[in-house]
Amino acid sequence: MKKKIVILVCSLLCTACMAPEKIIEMQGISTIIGFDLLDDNTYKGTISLLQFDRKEEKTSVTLSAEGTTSKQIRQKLEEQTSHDITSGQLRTILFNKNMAETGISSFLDTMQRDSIISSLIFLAITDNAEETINNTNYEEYPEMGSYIYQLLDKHEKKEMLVNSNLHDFITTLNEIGIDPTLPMIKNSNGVAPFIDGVALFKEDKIVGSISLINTLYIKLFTNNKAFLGDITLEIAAEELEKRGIAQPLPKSDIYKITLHPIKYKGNIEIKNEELVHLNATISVSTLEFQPYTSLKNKDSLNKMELLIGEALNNKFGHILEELKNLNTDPIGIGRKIRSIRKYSHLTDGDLRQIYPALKIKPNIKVEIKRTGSVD
Amino acid sequence: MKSNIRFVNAFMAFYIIHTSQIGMGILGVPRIMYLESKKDAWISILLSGLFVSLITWLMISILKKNEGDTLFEIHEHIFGRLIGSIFNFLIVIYFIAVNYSITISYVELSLTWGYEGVYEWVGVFALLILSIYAVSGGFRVVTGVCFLSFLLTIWLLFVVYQPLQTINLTRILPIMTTTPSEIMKGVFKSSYTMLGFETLLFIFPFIKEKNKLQLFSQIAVWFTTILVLITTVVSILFFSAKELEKNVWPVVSMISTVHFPFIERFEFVAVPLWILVIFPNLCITLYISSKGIKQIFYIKQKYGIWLISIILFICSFLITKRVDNNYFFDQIGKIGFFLWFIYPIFLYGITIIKSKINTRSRRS
Repeated sequence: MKKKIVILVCSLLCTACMAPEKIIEMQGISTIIGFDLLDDNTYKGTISLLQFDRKEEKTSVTLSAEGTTSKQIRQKLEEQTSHDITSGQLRTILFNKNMAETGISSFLDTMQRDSIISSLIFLAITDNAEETINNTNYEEYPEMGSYIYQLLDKHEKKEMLVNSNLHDFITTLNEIGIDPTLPMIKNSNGVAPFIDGVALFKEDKIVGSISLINTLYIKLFTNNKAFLGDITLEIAAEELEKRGIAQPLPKSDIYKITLHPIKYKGNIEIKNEELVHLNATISVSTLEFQPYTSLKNKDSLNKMELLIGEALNNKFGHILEELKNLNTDPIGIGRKIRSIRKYSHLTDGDLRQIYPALKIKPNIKVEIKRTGSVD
Repeated sequence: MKSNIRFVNAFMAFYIIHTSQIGMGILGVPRIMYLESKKDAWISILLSGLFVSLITWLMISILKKNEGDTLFEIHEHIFGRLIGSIFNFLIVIYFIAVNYSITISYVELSLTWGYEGVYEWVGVFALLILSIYAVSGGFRVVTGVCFLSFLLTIWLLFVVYQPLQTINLTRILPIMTTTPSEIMKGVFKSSYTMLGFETLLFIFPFIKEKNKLQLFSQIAVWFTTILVLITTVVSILFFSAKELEKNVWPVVSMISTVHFPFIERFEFVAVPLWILVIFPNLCITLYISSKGIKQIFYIKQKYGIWLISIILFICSFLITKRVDNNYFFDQIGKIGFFLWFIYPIFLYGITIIKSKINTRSRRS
């Protein structure tokens, strides 16, 4: 019995065999890191540190250093502060646009390798990472890192951002037949940074951008639980007349409709090597009609649905043309093609060749489910 | 051990077999399988499960033919004391190696996730002390460890729910694109994860209702297969091909995308918790190998436990690099495959011949 107690005590003692490394007062908690490309091989890294000292009035400090790898930058940053820089609370990594033009995948290796860094951190593109982090307008948040994180997090959950965390980016980057996207953060004097469109990538290089609202078309097919964001359309009065939809009063040249998507379902249908159908159905509720239009009549409701669907398809067609011109495939059509047995041998290079010549037919159907409390 | 506390109920065999199958292997299995049989890794796992199930049936048949013996005793009966002891000694070495492979891979994992810079022997020492304590309590304590570990960790399965939200079904399509030989290689590679059912050969004398053992061990084996299947399929759907080939512990990387409002980095909970998953493995391998030492050298089991622990502790200074470890696990998987997937078939043949000879000699 005595022996057993000795063994038990030994094992209890062993549970805490660790040096007390991390003391909260000693930590400089970095919440955001931004990289700028200086010249060929040197990068400038900027971080924002949260301060825990209550005596200090400032809640954050930003530091910058130059180096060739991200860990070397970090080492140099350590020289500038008495705190111990930790990246456990790192929420966002910003890349300068010019860096993204030459490729950022080599920078992502360390983020994946380092187990301290969460795979849920956001990546974003900005014009100048240092200036963005040094911007002092960050609403009510303690420092820039928290602000940008909240901004991106809100947009991913409630608005129109395609998923853009480290895991999503790396997965789509490595996957054959789909290209990643990242939000672009705009920084200007006197205002807090804001999201200004979504950058389109080809491999790990930025090739173009689309507006936030247009990401709706990407999300229709890549994510089945995303928030689509409201759709606003303008319809010419003649169009309504032509189709025999009841003309609203008072008369106007252009009718504006805002729709709120409730549910949606998207499906990429591979007809053959040259033809792809992008089928989607969106159930919407109408939020706004300018001027007031009534959709009591079932016939005119159907016609209206068709009209809206056509308008969306038209717009989507233009976006697809643009994507094909840039040879970037954020929707993952290539991935879907490869999942069919006949084409499963296609490589990344093959898909890049096929893609611009592919005939893609958008086929979005809209279903007006609710009209709000008036009809 | 006193005879009145010798037996455990047959349903306990479920916990013993299942928990000794699930261990460090399952954390890395999606990658290992993917490297071999690509998108069709799940077929390999199902085949492997079927195979394990058959072998389990065979093992129980062998055991039933040799009333109430463990494999160590069976060896002595069949091959005689000397050759039997050599066989037993090899098996003891195998179990010591398995024990070490589990210990070192867990230590390696915890060093990557949070305890960087700590010496390996510290971790090995802590785990050893724990398992010595448990095994010294005898078979019933080991069974209790298995039971508790199962109940305390099975809920981790539900954590997969969050990664499920971002999976993409097209990643597993089209099915059946790999060649049968690649699928068979996958079956072979899955052995390190699926091994553990051989425990059956050593716990048989302690089971109270021996006729129910078949049922519970089959349930255990299939439950393990399904768990491995789920983790592999979800990992394939969750990661892109390149990522899956790179990640050493895909399951941990997957868990690292799980977050709750109250715990942001769930992997830092899961990794320490995994000690509960490997604890039964350590106890059982240590128990079996010390039992073997007892059988071979006729010394008390507790000396066997201490001897083995000292060997394991010394090992912790020798094999510690990632590259060496990989090679080591691979070899154990291979040896385990031949020892427990192939050898029971021969053993079954030998027992049948032996029993025929016995009945004939009795008749004449």
